[in-house]
Amino acid sequence: MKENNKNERMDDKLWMKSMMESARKEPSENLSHRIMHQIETEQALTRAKPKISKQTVSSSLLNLRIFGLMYFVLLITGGYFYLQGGKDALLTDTFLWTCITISSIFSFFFLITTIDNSLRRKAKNKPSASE
Amino acid sequence: MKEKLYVEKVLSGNSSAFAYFVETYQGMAINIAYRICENMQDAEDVVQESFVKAYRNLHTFRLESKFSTWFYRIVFNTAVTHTKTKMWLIDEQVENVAEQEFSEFDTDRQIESNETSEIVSHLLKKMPKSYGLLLSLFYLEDNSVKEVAEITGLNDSNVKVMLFRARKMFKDLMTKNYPELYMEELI
Repeated sequence: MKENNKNERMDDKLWMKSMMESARKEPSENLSHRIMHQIETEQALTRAKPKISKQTVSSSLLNLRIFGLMYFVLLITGGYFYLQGGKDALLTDTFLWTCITISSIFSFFFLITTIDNSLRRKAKNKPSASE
Repeated sequence: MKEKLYVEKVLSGNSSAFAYFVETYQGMAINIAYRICENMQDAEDVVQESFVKAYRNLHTFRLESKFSTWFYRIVFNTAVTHTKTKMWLIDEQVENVAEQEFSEFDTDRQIESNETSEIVSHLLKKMPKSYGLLLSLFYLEDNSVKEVAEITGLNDSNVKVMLFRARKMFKDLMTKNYPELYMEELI
């Protein structure tokens, strides 16, 4: 009984398959040529198109620039405090808070630049709406 | 394995390697598009557009998955967008088909030739598009239920239910209107 059901299901499947096969549509002969022609034309146009998109600054270079500038500003500030009040001026709360403010400003700037860069990169990788 | 090689070739800038995918998948793609567009001209335009989309977005294709499933999904989406059809709204259509069984069909039968392919095409046109599409995906390409679900965006159980209904409707239409062909094929 079980075997019969299985055979029946198999026959049914084969019957459906043969029916669907008989209605199979074939593409016209030049379709593949049309497709490849369009793809190759696009490829050629892409190669010819000059790159006008602004390159995003690489992240390591960006870190170096921002934090380099930050340390430079901190050094100048330290020098100024030293000249004004000697060694003791560097141990005051005023100097500490000045340093914290400077590093916060630079860190915030770094955060904004990193987010901006990653958004640009995402937009660049995303296919355009026309695609 | 072979596909992976061709994908890598295309991604490295060899666009002519894409011809392999065109030759391999255009046949099934045309069947999917035809079931949705219901005319060959539109179906060919959809297939062409789909191949270009696949080429442009090949870098997003994950090599561990099947190219056919990924590509047929593009064809399906492109065809649906092209025709602006709501594929899975079929209640009303099903009712219409049931009515046609008793009225239009008898007259149609007199005009029609006895070619199996024409009869099957005629029956598929009478059925909801979605049923024709599911039958094509399942029987022509031997896609599994899971793959059909991935292509169409339905879940597995919906695919199973709809396939069952589609098969039943196809058989009913066939036995009611072409019983001689049904028996002949089974023998």
